[in-house]
Amino acid sequence: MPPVRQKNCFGIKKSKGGFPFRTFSLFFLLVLLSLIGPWFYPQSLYKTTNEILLPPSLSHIFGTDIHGRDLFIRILFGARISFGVGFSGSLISLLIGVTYGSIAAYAGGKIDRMMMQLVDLLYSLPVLVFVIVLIAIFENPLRAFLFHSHLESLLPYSRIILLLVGLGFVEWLTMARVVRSRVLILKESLFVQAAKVLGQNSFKILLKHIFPNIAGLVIVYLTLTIPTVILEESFLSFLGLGVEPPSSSLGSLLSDGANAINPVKISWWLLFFPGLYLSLTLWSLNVFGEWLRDKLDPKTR
Amino acid sequence: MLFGIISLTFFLVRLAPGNPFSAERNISPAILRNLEARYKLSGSLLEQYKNYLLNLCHGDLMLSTRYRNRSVNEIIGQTLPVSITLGGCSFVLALAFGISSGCLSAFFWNKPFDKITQGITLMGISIPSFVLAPICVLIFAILLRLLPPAGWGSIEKLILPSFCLGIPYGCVVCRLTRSAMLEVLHSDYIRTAKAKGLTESSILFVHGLKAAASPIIAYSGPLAANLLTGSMVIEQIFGISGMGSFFVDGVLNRDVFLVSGVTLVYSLLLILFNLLADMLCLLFDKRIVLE
Repeated sequence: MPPVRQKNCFGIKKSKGGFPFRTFSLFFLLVLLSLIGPWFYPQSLYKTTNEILLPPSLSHIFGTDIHGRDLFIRILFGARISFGVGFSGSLISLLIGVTYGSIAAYAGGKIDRMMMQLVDLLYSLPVLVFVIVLIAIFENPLRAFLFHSHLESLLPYSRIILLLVGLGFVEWLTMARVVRSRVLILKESLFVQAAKVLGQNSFKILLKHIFPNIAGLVIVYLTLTIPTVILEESFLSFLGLGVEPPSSSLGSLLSDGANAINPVKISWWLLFFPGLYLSLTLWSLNVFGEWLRDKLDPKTR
Repeated sequence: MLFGIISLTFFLVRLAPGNPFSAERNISPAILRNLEARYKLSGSLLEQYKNYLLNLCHGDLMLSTRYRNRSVNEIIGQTLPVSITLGGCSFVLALAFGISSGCLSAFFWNKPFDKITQGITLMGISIPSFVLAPICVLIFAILLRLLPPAGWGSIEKLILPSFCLGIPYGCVVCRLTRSAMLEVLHSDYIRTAKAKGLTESSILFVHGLKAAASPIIAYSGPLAANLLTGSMVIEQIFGISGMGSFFVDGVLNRDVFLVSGVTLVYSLLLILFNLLADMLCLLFDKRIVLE
């Protein structure tokens, strides 16, 4: 039983103040590795060879896959795509969430209630189902569009583009809620009232007075959105609905790994290492995000 | 609302260029016409829509275009019980694990037990079910040969899938319970109960849990939604023919009616579930008053 008089404990992990240095550097290392790692690694390892399904050894530290490619380099390339989708998908969700939340709060009244009811509704729906349907529907049109507008170089990435847009479009809910509750408070503050009295229009008030004040909060929730988007991207890729071969993400590598589990020959490294990479990424981002939230979001303090 | 979802999925799936039959090579126009007539895909889009809604009112979800000669009703009828059993087991498991460990960890606040639980649950949140599942298969089914690796039909075959599906969400529930409990345990009436000389366990589980229940119940709505989507992957890994795997297949093969039908059933289930959760919330927390 916690001591009753303890005042500073409000549920969520009590921050002991310190910057989670180890966690953050772990995340930093993982990102850095995926960004610059492939440059230092001999390119020949990415080609298919006859050395299939070799267990981890000195020449292939994570072993090789079913086509004889080095697993380490594949993980790095996969993580690159996962990170890319995670970051840009979260940015899209940030854009939508902040706009939606601040408009709802600023408009107030009936509009606010209606907009927030929509958010509540979407919260309880299996949004990934809609992302899946969206991907299935818009894939061909997007390809045709890219083809006609002479962006052929983007063609192999059409799935990824759809993926990050789709995920961005469903992950803005928490952001919208948080931003709304903060803007509701800010709206009543004196400096906003003053700006209103001086005849500033609503758009400029939002842009100049309110947005700078919610920036910190937005960054916190951005950090917490990134792992969700990475997780969902891997989920979809695992199902074969995300990134297509020959490019790979952590999810599709995991799916290969799961298929490699059979009683005849156990290629555990195909499953273990991508899983480890993904879990470590999610773990470090979650810890870091929670720390930031404890630090910057006064509501949970 | 349901109507909105039906229309949305129908139009989205139908508006996509290319129809379900264009994948098959070189069908003569006559055959195509016959096919379209059979699956009621002829006529303008609005006519099709009207047709679909009319059929829906009679409880008919039309024929699947991918699985020849099987109606969507039939497929859903066969797979829904499977998915519900799996989802239900995982749901109960997630709640049971989450609430009990959350309560205990709030009870042992800042003691080793609490810290270990927090560490484990944070790890559990970070390891997605599709990583956990193959690893569990590898360890329990292939190396130790304790449980069957795949399939459906007996109790042993249910253990691994529902464990892998439920535990990550159980960790979320645990953290939620812990924070809600901690907040409650600081309130005055708990102190009164303590002063009255009630046993700690009765304070924790009777007084504390009752007040801390509402965030947990509120989370159970999204939890059910997550379990539904999560079950797609679990069904694939364990080779269970539930609704999720049919849904993924339907999307990949552009099976209009299967996709809309399954989406409809999903939404229906979730709406019912949220309604139930809201009612439970009312029951537990008398402070909420219906306007």
